[in-house]
Amino acid sequence: MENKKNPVSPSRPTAESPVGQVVPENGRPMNGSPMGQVVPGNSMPTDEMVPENGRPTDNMTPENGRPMGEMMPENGRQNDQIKTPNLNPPGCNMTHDCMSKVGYSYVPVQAFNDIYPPAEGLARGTIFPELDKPFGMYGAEVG
Amino acid sequence: MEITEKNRLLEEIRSYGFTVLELALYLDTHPNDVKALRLYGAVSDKLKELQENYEQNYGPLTITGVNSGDGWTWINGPWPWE
Repeated sequence: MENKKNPVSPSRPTAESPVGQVVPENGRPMNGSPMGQVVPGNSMPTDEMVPENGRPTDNMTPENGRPMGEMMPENGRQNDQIKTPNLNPPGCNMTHDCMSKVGYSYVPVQAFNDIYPPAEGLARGTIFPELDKPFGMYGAEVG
Repeated sequence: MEITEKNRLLEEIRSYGFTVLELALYLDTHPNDVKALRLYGAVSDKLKELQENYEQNYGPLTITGVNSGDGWTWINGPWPWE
């Protein structure tokens, strides 16, 4: 299966998933995304959300479990209703030249190891040695 | 002398209470971790034992620690502002 992780790619419109109905994985509309092309009055039946391989996938549904069609207003003016903090520099005209960069973050899952004895844990603020990181560990304070 | 032993016990209860809380937080995200679960059982048992020991000797730690057979012992210790 090529491109399995992102079966509905905005760059590859298909009959099953026209570009105008592509929704990002978090289920929310994005500024400047193909979402702007949503056809007014489109009721977004869920069978149109099925990716190319014909199988509905989990990543087509947002975390709240509702189908994505419910997340989007029918009139296509969703950007009016979603307020996000402006993290861009003053005077930014919302072009890619000045907007803050986006990225994925990743934190590995903690594994259980030895723990501090109770008194030491209380004194250090954690019973997990792997989480016992003095302030400055990630910054310039550490020489 | 008694104050010292009392405070030592109280400090031990605080320490074990913190360890129980930390293990509980870990288990919230790792509910099937057998090693953590076993440790949680051992540490929380020890905490209960320490609390019972303290309450038998020095009075109730929390309002549910009052043994009504002994009368209303809740007011016997110093109040928080005393």
